[in-house]
Amino acid sequence: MEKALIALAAALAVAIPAMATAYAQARIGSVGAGTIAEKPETSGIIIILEALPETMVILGFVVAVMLILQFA
Amino acid sequence: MIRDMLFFGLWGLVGDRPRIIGKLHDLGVVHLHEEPLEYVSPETAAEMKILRGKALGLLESLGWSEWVSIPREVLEEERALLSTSDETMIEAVEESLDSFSARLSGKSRMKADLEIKLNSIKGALRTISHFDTFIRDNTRSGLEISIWWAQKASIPEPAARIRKIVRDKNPLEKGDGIPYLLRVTPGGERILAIAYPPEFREVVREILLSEQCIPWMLPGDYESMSFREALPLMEAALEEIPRGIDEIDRNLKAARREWGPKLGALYVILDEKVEEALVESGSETRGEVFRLSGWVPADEKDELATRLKTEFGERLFLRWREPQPGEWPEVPTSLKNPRYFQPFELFLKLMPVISYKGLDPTVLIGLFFPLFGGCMVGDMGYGLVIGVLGFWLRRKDGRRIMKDVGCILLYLAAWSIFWGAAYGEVFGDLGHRFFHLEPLWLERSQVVLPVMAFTVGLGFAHVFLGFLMGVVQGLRMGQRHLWMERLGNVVVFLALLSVMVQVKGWLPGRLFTIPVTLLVLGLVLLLAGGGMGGLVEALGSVGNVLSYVRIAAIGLSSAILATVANSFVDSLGITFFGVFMALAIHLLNFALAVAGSSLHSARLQYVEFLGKFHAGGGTLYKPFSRREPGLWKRH
Repeated sequence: MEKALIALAAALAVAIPAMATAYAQARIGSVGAGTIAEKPETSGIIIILEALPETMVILGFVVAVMLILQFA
Repeated sequence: MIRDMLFFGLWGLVGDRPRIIGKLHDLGVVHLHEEPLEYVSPETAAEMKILRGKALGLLESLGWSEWVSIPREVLEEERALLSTSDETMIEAVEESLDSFSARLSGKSRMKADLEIKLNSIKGALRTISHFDTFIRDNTRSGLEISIWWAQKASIPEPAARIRKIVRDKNPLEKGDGIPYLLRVTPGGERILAIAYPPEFREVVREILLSEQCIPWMLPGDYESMSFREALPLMEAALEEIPRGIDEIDRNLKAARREWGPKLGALYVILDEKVEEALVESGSETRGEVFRLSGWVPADEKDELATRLKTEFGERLFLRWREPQPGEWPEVPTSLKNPRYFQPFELFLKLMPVISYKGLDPTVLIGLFFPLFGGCMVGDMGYGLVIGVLGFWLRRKDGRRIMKDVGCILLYLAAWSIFWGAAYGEVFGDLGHRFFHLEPLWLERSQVVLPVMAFTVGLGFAHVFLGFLMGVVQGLRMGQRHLWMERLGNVVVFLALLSVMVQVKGWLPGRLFTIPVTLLVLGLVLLLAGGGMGGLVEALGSVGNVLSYVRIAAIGLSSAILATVANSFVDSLGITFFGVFMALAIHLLNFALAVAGSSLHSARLQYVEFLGKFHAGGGTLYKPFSRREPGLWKRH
């Protein structure tokens, strides 16, 4: 039971930031595509903005690994 | 490396102007200072612009757009043909373009006419098909048939009126000699076919018109014919017209293949000529002397001066000087990197142009991008496939961008093989299964933590380097706030490093004052440089370092997926399905590995590294040069 809870916690640590990232990237992506269509020179900045929310998942992954290694 | 630039001034005799400008165009190194488009173009330039427009119009009519594939010899041939800009040349080109345009328009018009005809025949036959049997039966009985668009849902009343008139005129007629058929098409249109003795044509017409029916006509060429005459002819035309259209298409395709590159080359050369004419008219003229100015890379100065002096001798005066600090934003930025790193200049094309006094990060991107990407892929088998892909891209596509991408893939492949050896992976665990291959460092799918720690270490070094570059950038640009803030971050990073060293016990505890001092010093610099914003950015930098864990995370997922692919053969045996599933998952994993590693490695360069020091605000170096095949594109 305890192991199952740890596994669930680790899964949530990745899943919740992943959903948040997906939501953020969808919004940034749609607006970014419009911006690039009008001003192609902003491509670099838009790619950076699009990539920013990914950090959440990476941090979630770190937390998940810590949880598993620490408690499981 | 950013090339040093020199301000270039040229004075020459007005009589030599076209030749001097032509020579500068050939040499292709001067970034002209003037904005030629601000000047009024001379008459010749205006005429050439019209010609250029005509050539473009023809190319669009031909449907040709393969600008990058114009052969060099065709371009040179056109350049030789248009070596003069006199009236005779312009007239000859114009005449030739007009004649070609007339022939092309003729063919296009013929094709359009045939298509219209074909569509109208198809439409007519579709309508007639609703009444196939009706027409056949009644034509055989000697009746005339007409078809109408009917407004009302049924037409028994007008039909009854027609029958009555027929009976009154001809008592022998029983009246059932006026058959009709009403059809509703899938589009909801009502179509009526009615058959009657030919002498009652006008009566039928009058009555149906009074019922708001509209006569349906056969297509133009068959309008005066009866259905019996027209139908076989229309069916024959239905087979013949597509053959005619195909023939015209073949002719147009041949014309596109033959004339497309020539017209494209003509357009490019005319574009060059217009540019030359505009530069000529834009040069400052005083009496018998004209002046041109611009920027030239310092390493091109001697060659440029020698070539100009050899050709024009004392009739030309040149002047050079270093750019002044006030001119830095105007000085164009031109990069010159060692051959290995040149493909990585591609990354900077997505960013604002580096300012002249900025730092060129190409070399560092060239070192870190394939290193990080290869660490993510970390498989010798995948590395080899990436290498083959890169090699194929370099050989297959003549475009510069594809060659650069191919090169970058080759470097990525080399690092993937290196890391694959470190992790002992060849298409997942196949190397271990078949050759008992052992990792040189560790098996990343089993031992996660050391790889994560290593990637954080890489991130620390990379971000630290970014901050150091920021300090240099701030000092070069004379931006006190920038270098103080970046230096504050450097010192805070050093403090964190020394804390870790202390925690590990590698330094005696009494030296704990070192990290504390560094931290205080760093915070003071951060506050002085960026205020509270500086402190927030320092916290964000820790997040930046942690962000490099993605290298381990993506690598881990790739390694596990490769192992899963191989396990299909274990579960399903060496069967078609088992091997197919294993290959399919390997293919998916390969695509994810290449796309994911490139994207995430690029992100680490753009966000975590370049964000620390890259400053835009520069001017792109655009030399006044001849168009090169494969590099030139129409704007």
